[in-house]
Amino acid sequence: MNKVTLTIDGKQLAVRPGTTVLEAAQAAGIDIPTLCHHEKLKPAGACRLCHVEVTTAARKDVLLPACATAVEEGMIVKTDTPRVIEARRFILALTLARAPQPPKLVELARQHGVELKPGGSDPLLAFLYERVEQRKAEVGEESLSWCILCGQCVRVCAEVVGMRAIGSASRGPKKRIATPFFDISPTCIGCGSCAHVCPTDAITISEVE
Amino acid sequence: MENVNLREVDELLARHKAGGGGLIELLQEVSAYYQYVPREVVEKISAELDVPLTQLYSLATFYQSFKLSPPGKHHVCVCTGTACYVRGAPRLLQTFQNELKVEPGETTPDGEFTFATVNCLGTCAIGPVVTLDGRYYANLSPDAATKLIRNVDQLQPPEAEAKESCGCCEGNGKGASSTAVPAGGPAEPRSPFASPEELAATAERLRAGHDPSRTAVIVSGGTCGFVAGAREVFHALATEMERLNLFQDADLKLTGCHGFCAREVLVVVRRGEREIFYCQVKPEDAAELLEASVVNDGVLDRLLYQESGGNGARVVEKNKVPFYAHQERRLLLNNSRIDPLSLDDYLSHGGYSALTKALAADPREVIECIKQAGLRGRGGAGFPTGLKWEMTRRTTESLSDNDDGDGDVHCYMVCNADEGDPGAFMDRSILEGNPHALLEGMAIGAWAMSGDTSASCQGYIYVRNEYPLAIEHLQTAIGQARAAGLLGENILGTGFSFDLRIVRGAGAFVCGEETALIESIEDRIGEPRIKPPFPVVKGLWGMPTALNNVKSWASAAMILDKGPEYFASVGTENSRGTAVFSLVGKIANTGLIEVPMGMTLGEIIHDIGGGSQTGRPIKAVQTGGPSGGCIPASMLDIPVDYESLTKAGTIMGSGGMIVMDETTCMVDTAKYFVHVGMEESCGKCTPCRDGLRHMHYILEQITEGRGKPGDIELLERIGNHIRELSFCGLGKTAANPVLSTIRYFRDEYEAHIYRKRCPAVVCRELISSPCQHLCPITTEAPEYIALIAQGRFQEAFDTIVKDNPLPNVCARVCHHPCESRCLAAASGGALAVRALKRFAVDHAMRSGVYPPPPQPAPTGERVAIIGSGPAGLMAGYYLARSGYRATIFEALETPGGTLVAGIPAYRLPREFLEADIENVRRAGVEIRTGIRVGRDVAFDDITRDFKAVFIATGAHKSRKLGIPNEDAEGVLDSIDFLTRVNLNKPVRVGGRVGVIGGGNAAVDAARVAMRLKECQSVQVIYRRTRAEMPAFTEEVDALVEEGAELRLLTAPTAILTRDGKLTGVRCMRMELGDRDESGRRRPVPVPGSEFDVPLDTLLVAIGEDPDVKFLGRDSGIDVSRRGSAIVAKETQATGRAGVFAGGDVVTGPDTVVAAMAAGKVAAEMIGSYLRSGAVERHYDLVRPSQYVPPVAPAEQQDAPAEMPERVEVALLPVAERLGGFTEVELTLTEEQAMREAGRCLRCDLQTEDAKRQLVELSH
Repeated sequence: MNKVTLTIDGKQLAVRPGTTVLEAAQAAGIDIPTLCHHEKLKPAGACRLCHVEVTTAARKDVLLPACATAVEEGMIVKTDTPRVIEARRFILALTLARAPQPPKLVELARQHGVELKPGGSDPLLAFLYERVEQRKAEVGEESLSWCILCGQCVRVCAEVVGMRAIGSASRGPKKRIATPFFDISPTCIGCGSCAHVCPTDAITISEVE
Repeated sequence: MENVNLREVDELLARHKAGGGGLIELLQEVSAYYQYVPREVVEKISAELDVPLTQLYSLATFYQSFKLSPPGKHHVCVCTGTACYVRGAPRLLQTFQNELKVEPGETTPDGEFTFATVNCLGTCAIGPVVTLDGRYYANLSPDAATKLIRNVDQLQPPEAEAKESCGCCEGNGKGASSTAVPAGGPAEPRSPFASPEELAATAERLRAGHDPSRTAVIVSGGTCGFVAGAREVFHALATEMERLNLFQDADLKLTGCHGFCAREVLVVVRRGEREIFYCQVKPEDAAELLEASVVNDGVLDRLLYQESGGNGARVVEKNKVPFYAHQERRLLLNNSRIDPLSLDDYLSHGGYSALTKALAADPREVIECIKQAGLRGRGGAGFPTGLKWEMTRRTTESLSDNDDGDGDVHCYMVCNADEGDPGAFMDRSILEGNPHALLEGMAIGAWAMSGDTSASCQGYIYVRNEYPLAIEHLQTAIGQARAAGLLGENILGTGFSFDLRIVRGAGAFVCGEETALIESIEDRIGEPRIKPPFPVVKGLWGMPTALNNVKSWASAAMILDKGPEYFASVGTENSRGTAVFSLVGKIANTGLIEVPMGMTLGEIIHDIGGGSQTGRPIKAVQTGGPSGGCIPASMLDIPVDYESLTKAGTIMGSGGMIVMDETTCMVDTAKYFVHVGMEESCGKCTPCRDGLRHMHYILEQITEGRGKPGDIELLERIGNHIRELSFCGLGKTAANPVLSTIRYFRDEYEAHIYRKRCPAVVCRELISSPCQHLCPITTEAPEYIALIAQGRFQEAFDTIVKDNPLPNVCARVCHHPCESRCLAAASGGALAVRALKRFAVDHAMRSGVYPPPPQPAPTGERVAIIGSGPAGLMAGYYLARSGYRATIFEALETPGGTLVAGIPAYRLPREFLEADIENVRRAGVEIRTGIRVGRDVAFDDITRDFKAVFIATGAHKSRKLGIPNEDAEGVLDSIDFLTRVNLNKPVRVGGRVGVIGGGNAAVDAARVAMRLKECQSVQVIYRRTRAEMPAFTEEVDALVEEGAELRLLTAPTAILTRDGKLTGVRCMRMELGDRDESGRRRPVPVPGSEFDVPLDTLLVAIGEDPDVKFLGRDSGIDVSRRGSAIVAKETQATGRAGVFAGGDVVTGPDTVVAAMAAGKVAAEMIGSYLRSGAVERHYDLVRPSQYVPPVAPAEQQDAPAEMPERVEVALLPVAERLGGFTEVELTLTEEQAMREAGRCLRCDLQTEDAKRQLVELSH
C-alpha cells in the first residue's frame, strides 16, 4: 500500500494512509499528551489536550486535535510551538480545576507547568485555584470528583466489552458518567475494564453483596 | 412513590413498532402520556425492546424536554429567548419566583405548579411570552403574571384542540396534535398524479378556475397571529360574509404569517394587484371592514396602517407601508398568498412545477442550476449549497457504482428545522405558512443527488418540538403530497421514489450542529461527531447525507422554478439572493422580513423597522444568536452579507436580529448568551463544557459587583481558547457574544468592574434600585418612599437630608433621573419620586427643622470655593462635614449662583432656597458675596491663602447667533435677562417677545417674559421639532399651557432693524433630513421659505459657555476651546495640584443635580488630597444605609394585583400664575403621598444583601 509522507517536529515520516497524527507521532517517539485516547478505542476527540499545529496545502498553522486528524501528504506538524504549549496548559488547567486531586492528573499537569496553588503569576491558574478552594469550602474536599469526563470507561464498555453498563447522564457542565439512575447497572459483569482504562483512577471496583 | 400504571406501555410499544419511529419519539410518547418519564417505564421498554438501559437513561437526561419526576398540576413556562429577555422576561421570572417561591425547573411543594423556562418559543415579536398549561400569554406584564397565578383556577380550560399549545415541554401532554383539519376548505382527497403532464393540467385548471379580479379577504395566520386573535377575526369575517351573502363575489382565506408581527391581526383585501392593508383588526371590526372594502369599493380609514405615535399619514396599500415597501419578499411571498393547508392552492400558485422541471432534467443539471444561482447555506454558515449537493451526489454515485444489489445503498436528505437560536422564528413561519415549498425543495434535492443511481433516498425533517403548529402543517402537507403522488413510491409516474419523515427534536440546541442532529436521528444523545468524514461522505447511518436549513431547501425550489438568474438578480457578489430575518427586540416594527443581501443594517432598522420602539436611542444589534455578536449602533452602515458580518465579529446565523437600546446592558447580554451556550453545551469537550462555565462565573461576578481588575483580559483569554479548541461549531462560536461585546463595549465592562455601575441600569446586584442608582448623589429614594408610605414623614426627610443639604432645591427643580427607569412604569406609571420628596420636605419645613449639622473634629485646613451655585454649596457642605474650613466666594450680591440668578422664583420660591443655603451655612461654610475673583481678589492670592481650591463658576456666557444685527437694541441675551429679572434689577422688554432656542434657558426666559406686565405675546423659535427640544418636557408643557406659541422647524437667518432698533427676525422653515449618527434626523432649510416675524424684544438662548478668564494666563489649568475647565472625569482634579473644578464650568450647561454631584465628589477628592497628597476615588456598590422593611406580607396578599395609576401633581391655575412669580407646582396631600409611595415596588429589597438583612431584621 502507498505511504503518506509528513513532517512532525522536523522529522520526515512515512505512514499508512488513514493513520492519525497522534499515531504517527507515537510511532516516531514524539510525545503528545492525551487524556481521552486509548489505542483500543475509537478516537473521541473529547479532551482536546492533543492539539498540535498543522500546515497542509489548504490551511496554514491551524490547531487540530492529533487523535482526530488523519495524516495528509506533505503535512507539517509541530507539537511544541508556544501556541500548542499554551493550548495544552489551558486544557490541563480546566481539567485540573474539575478534578484537582487525582495524583496522575496532578503529575501530568505539573509536567506541563500547570499547578493550582496560591500565589502563582498566571491569572488563569490563580482564578481556577480560587474556584477550586471555593468548591472545597462548599462541598468538602472528600466530595470532589476525580472524573474528568474523558469517556474512556463508557467507550470500553460499549466497544470492547459490549455490555454498555455505564453511560452518561445530563449534559453540559452537569454531565456525569453514570450507571442508569445512578443505581447498580443491570448489565455490568464486573470485568473492571472501566477502572482499568480510567486515566485518573476515578473508578474503583469493589465487591457488593 | 406512587405506582405507575404499566399497562399502557404495551400499547405504546405496539403503536411505536407499527409507526417505525425512533427511541426519542417513543420517550416523547411516554412523556405525553405520563407527563414525565417514569423509571419503571424506562426499564420495561429496555427489557421489551432489548435496548440498553444506559442508552434510554442518557437520552432521558440529555434532552431537556424529558423529566424524570412528575410535574405539578399547572405548568408555567417563561420564554427566556433573547427577544423576551430584552423585553422583560427577567422581571417575569422574578415575579413567578416571588409568587411561587420555587426556582425554575422546580415544582411547588403542594404539587400545584411546575415552574420552567424555555430558551425560545419562537414567538419573539410578542414577547415577553409565558405559557400556562399550554396557552400562550403575550406581552405579559408582571402585574398580569401575578394575576394569572392567583386566578389560575378561574381560567378557562384550554380548548380540546388548542392549536396554540406551546409544546415547550413534553410533560404538559398537549404537544402537537397529529390530526390536522384543513381550515381553508374541505380536505382534498385525490388520486395520485400519474404523470407530470397530469399535474400541470390540474394546476392549469385550478388557475383557470380562479378569477384574478375576484376579491380575496386574507387573514394572516401563524402562531403569533393566532395568539393575537387571528382565528377569532377569521371566524367573525366568515360569519359576516355569510350574513352579507358575500361569498358569491369574494373568497376568505387564512394564510401563513405576513410578517408584520407588531400589528397583528393583519387582514388584506385583495382585488387584482391592489392590496388594501388593515392592521390590528379585532373580530368586532369584521362587519365594518367588509362593508367598506368588499360591499363597497372603499377603505376603512381607522384600521389602515399609520406610523407609530399616530401622527403619520394613513397608508392604504400593503406595498406602500414602509415595513413592506423596503423589502424584497421572495421566499416569503407565498406565505401571504396561499392557504398552507391546501395543496390545490399551492398548485394554483405554481407549486411543484419546479419538481416537474427537475424530474425532466438530468440530476447533474439540477445541481448545476443551484451552483449557478450561488445559493449559500441559509442556516448561517454559508457553505455553497450546490457544492454540498455535488459532493453528496459524488459519494452516492460511487457507492452506487460498487453496489452489489442488496439494497443497502442509501442517500439521505435532511432538513434542519431545529431553529433553536433564541430570537429567531423565520423557519417556523415558512413551515407554518408554506410547508409544501420545503417538501418540494427536498424532493428536488433527492432527485438531484440520488436520481439515476441505485441508491434509495429518504428524507427527514428534524423540527423543534416547540413548534406544534409547524409540525401539524408539515404532517398535513406530507399526507397531501403522498396522496397526490408527489412523495413516496414512483413520484408522478417517473419511477423515482422519495419519502419524508418528521423527527421532533427533544430540546437540545446543539442538535442544530449537523452531526449532532444526525446522532439524534440515530437515537443517541446529541454529541457531535468527528469531522471529517463530513455528512456528504458519511452521514446518517454512514450514508451520504445532504443536510440543509429550511430556507435553503425552499430556496432550491424557487431557483428551479424561476431560474438561477432570478435568484442571483439581487444580493452581493459573494452573497446572492435575499436574507430572511426575524427583526425583534426594542424595535418599533417587529416582524419577519426579507431583504436583498447587502442592504445595510441601518436601512433594515430605520426604514423597515421604524427605528427604536421606545424612542430611546438604539445601542446595538445582535445577530446569530448565542453564536453571534453585537454590532454597535455606530456601525449600522455595514451591509448584511456573510463576509461583512463575520468581519464585524458576528455571524449571519440563521436569521435572528435582535435590536437593543440603551436599556440593554451589554455585560448582562453577554452573560445571558454564555448561559445559553453553557446550558446547551453537550458536555463532550473540555473547553466548551468547562470554559463556558468559568466565563459565566466571571460574568456573574462582574454583574453582581464583584468584578476584579484583570477580569476582562481573563474573559478574552478563555474565550479565545474556547473558540480555537472546541470540538464543534457550538463551542467554537459560543464565546462570540462576550468577545464582541468586549470589543465594542469595553467601557461598559469597565463601569461594572471599576466603578460598580451598570450604565444600562439592568444588573440588579449592582444597581440595587434604579432610582438610587440613577441619582447622581445616590439619594436613598426607596427608603424615604417606604417611610412616606408608612406615614413616617420626619424620618423620610432625615433620610433625604442625609445625602443632600439642598432638599428644597431638589424637591423642586431636580430633573428626577430617578423616575426615568422606575419599574412601576409598566404598571400605572413611574413613581412620582420628586413629588414625594417635595411632600416630605414641605412637611418637614412646616413642622420641623433640618437635623442638627454634624460636628466633625476640625482639621484647621482652609479650602476656597469659587461660586455659590449648586456645585459650590454642595462642596462647601461636605468639606465642612469633614472638618475643613470652607469659604465660598460669590461674585453676585446674593448667594445661590444659577439657583437664584437663573431659575425663576415660580419654580423655586426664594424662601425655600434661602432655607437650604442657611443649612449649608450652619454646617460651618462661610459665604462671601459680592467678591468677583479676578477683579476683587486675584486667583493666585486664593491659591496661596488656601490649601485647596474648587472652581464652580458655572456657565453663563450666552452664545451668539452669528447672524447680522445681533447687537441691535432690543436683542438680549437670555442669561442676562433672567439674572436681571430674578435679582429684581430693571429690564426693558417690549410687547412682542421672541425667544430663540429649545433648551431650559429658552423656556425659562419665555415663561419669565410671560409674567412681565409689558409683555403681550411670547413665541419660541426652534429649528427642530418638539420631540428634540432639550428642555424638560414638563417645562415645555407649562409654557404652552401658559399661552406661549412654539414656532417649530424654524431657524432665524437675520435680525431686522430700523434705526438700530429691533423690528423683527427673518426666519426660514426647516424640514428633517438624513439621520445623524444618533439616529436623530438633521434639520435642513427649505429653500425659498423665508418669512419675517415682527418683534419688539428678542431673547437669544441657544446655549451658554463657561468663562474662566479670571484664572489668568499661567494658572496651570487646561481650558477647552469652549472655555470650560478640563478635569479628570472621575476626580474633578485639574492639571494643577490642589485645584479642582466641577459643575457647568466643566460640563457646560447641565442639570442642577449633576453640578451637586460634582461638588460632592470634589469635596471627597479634596479631602483625599489634603490627607495624603493623592487623589484617589473609591467606588462602592450603591446600597441604602438601612433597609426599611416593607409592610406586613399579610396585608400585601390582599392588595389588588392591579396597581393604581401614578399620582397627578396639581398645578396652580394658569390665570393665577401669570400675574407674578407664585410657585406653580403644588404639593401632594398626605393621602396622595401615602398612596403614591405605596405603589413602590421596592427594588431595593431584591438584592441578596437586602434579603439577608431583612431576614436578620425579622428575627
